[in-house]
Amino acid sequence: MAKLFIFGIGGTGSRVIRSLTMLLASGVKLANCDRVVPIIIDPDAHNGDMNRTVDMLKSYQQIYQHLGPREDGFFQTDMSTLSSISADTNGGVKDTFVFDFGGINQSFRQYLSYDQLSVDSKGLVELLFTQDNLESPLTIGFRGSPNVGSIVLNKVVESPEIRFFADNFQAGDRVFFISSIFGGTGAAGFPLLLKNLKDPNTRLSNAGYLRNALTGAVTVMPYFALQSEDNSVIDSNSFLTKTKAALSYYEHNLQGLDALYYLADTPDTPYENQPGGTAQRNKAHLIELLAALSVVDFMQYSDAELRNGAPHFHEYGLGTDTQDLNFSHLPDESRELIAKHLTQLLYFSRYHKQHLPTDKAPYHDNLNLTHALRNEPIFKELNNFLHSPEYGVDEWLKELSQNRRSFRPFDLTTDDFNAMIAGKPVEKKWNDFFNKGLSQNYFLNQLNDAAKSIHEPDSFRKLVALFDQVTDKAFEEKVKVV
Amino acid sequence: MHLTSSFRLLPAVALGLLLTGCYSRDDIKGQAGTETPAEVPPTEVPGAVAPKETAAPAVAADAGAAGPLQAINVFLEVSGSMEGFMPKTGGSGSNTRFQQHVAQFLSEVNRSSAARKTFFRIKEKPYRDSYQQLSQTVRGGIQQPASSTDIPTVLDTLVSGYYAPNTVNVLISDFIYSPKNAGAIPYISTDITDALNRAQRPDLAVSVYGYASDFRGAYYPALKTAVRKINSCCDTDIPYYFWVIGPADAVRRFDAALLEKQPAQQVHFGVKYPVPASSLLSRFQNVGSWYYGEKDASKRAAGASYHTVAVSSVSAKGPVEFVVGLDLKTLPGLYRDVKYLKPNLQLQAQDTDAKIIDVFAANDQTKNSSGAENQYTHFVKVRVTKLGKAARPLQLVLKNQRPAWISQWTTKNDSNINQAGAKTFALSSLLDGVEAVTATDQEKAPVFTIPLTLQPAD
Amino acid sequence: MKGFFRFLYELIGTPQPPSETPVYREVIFPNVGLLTIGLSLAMVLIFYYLINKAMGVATFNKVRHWVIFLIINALLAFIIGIWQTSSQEVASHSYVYWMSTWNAILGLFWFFLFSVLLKRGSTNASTTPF
Repeated sequence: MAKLFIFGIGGTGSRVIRSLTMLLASGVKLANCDRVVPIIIDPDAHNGDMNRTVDMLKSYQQIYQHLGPREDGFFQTDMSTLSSISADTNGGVKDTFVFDFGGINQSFRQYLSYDQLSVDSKGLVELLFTQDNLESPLTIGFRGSPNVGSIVLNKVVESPEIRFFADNFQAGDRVFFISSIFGGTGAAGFPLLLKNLKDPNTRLSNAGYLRNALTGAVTVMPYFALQSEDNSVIDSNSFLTKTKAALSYYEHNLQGLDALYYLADTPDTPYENQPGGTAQRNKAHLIELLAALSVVDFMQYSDAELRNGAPHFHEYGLGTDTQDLNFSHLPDESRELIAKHLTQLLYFSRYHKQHLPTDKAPYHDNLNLTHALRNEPIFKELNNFLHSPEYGVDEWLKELSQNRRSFRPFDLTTDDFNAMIAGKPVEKKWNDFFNKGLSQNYFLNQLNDAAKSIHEPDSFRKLVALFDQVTDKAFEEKVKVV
Repeated sequence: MHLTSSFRLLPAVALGLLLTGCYSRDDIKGQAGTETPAEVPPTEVPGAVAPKETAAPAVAADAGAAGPLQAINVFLEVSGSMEGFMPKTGGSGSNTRFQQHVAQFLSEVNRSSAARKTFFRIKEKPYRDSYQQLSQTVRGGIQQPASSTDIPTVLDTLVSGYYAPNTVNVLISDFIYSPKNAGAIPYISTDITDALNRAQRPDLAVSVYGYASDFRGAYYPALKTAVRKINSCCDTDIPYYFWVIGPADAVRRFDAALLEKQPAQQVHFGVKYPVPASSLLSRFQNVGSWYYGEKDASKRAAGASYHTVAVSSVSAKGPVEFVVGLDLKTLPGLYRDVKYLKPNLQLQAQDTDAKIIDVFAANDQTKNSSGAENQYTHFVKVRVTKLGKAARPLQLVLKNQRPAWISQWTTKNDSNINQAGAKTFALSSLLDGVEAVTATDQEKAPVFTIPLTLQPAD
Repeated sequence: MKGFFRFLYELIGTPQPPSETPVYREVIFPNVGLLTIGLSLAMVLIFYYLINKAMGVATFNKVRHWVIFLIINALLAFIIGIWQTSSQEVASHSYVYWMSTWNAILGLFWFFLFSVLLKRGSTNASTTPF
């Protein structure tokens, strides 16, 4: 029972995990593992990106737990919190996807006990950190300052969470790091965590497993810019400088890594400059989706392939350089990996929103949906996962389409299923009166048909299985290829 | 029949010969057609009537197969008593109705499709004549009146010598039977019976048609107690008769073919008729809750007939009335006469009060109707107010009742014929004698019996 | 079988006029009965199996659509009654219309019965009318 531990470091980590969760929800298969354990490491407890990712993960987890393991389909991959992988939590590990920094609500100066330091030490500190660094509160993260992050995150290794992680690490488990190279938390945290996990002298248990574990990472290089503000602590103009410095560090100091994925883009629309807190809630971006794909890619390699000639380095290139991407602009490999599953998820979400509540049909009665949709928590949870304005699938797709570069594989404004895939309308045969392509009628008919053939007593499991089968059929019959 | 002088007939013979020479058959036909259209329609040809019989079942079937009659023998009595019917043609040029009628009849016989037509004069015995000769006798008057030959002898001769299958003998006479003395009168009928019975013909049948004609000559009454003869008679019409004698089947067919439309008084002895086509009519003047009880009543086959009445509810207040349609075309006119049918049609039934409440003939309305009633000539309406618990037979019987005209045309004393009117001496007794021969049983056989069933609905 | 139809159709009283009883019992009742059962079965098959299965129409499965078929079925059943009596040339009587009306009611019943029996096999109307 192999596991994949994903360390999502900083805001970028949260956002990539969000995209990954979407992919897994859509039915993208994660090879060589049964369970994904995302661990988000962000000292900024109020980070907007992180919080909505966590909410979504919780939602996914509940849905998965209700559905149970299946061969394929929506929500097929188990995503668990760290604490849930073992019953023995030592009492110190909270059941959450987020690493617990134990409430560092002090300034960096206080964190270093600067006032108690010797004069010499004070001098060294002042050499390495600006006054601004020292005075900034740690509750909002390291605000693009790797030098601060590296100090704080070094302590993470001694936390009960990491010890728990090490205690339950088994042979065959894999580790993957997600970080941005140009920020604060990610740039500092990734090499530190890697170094500590692979440390031959570590006091962590299962050190041998940890050292030998196949480890991958994706490093996101600058893909957005921030609006310039005179007094902001983060200046996107320094991104490239920081990236350059980090890369030169990585060049010599990343030991024990089997695969490293580099992703970069030229910034276009500047993000609103929010250094941290709840306001740091950036729209989902294509880069994050591609970074999530690097996880999928990493898992597709067998152990032998990864060990042979490690480390492997990967970069990503679009099929076409355009500001508005749809499926046809993706390279074939990516398109085959995600196009069908995302289309299915879109059909599911759209049908779920538009028709499911009002349908009057045998499958509806069969599942007792009128009652279930209104009363059963798990149905509400699914509704949240799909349609939540915070973290739902609809929102995610909308954000992707509104960002720059925009990933716009779907026309989200139409109610016509036939026209939903951008640039690839479903062909309607003019001579067949009843062939309306992907009409509501088509889905109804298929749902009713599937409801008779799928024998599943649990109505929620059946609902998901129905839509999995029906959207699959819709894609194969009507869309065929994108 | 009496001896009479013959010399007065000479001019008539001359005229008759002249006429014969001047008339061809077509002329006769034309003359007959123009002179007596009301009495004898010229379309009356025996061959043409044969198809009528095909509608009747049973007897009619073999009758049709038999084709036209093999032989027709016509016997005309030419004794002196017949002279009054056939007076020698006088200056007036008028003839008697007898002459008109019999000449016409002879012509028809001669034209009929029968294989052999033979004509005889009855004197002391039958003498063969040609059609022309006999017809001339009728038209021109009797040239040589024969001496009388009494009726039993004539009948005996006919039955013994001329009786043959598929053959009829028509005897035309006034049938005034004069017994030798008053004491012989009660034995008239026996004499007739004995005469007819001598040859032991098992299927002997006799049809008697009575006519009346003006009479110009000496009348010889049967009873000679008062007068031997009445000269220059008569102020009243005198009856004369056609007796059709032969096997029952032949007589029936001859009746139907040649005498069908003869307006006459008639009575039939020993003639057997096919049971006429009949059916209940569920849509004709029906009252109350009843329907055809036949299993296949629903099939409504064309021409199907039904004879079972299934009554679903009946009571004194809600009686059931049903009509039986009868096709009496195959019967002689006598039996088609509503006046005859009304008293003589009877219903024989058990456990029910079913009774005939009306008998009526077809009219334009029924003939032109699209319903089954258009196939029938007569209708019998029956009313029921109670019936048995199970199916019971119900029979519609037409009794063979001697018609009333016979007694009306009979007199016990014809010596004063002008006062008595058109009557014949002891006619009833003559016919009693005939009847005794042809009726096998004590009880007279009915003309027909139509079995019906009356049952409660299931 | 004739007995069954006779029983069924004489629930509203014996045929009128009485003289038509044999043809009603022997011909019209069985014919009308079988035709109406056949019609109802056909209508049910059309609704549940042709439209709502073979043709894949999924939006014609509401109770109101079923009611449309139900009513059409009843009308056709009425017409069958009129047609059969007129083709058998029974004497005209208001009973013809009573019988046809009764047949329409029986048509409703048959359609309902077949619906209940056969709806499960349908894809899109397996829960119609309830």
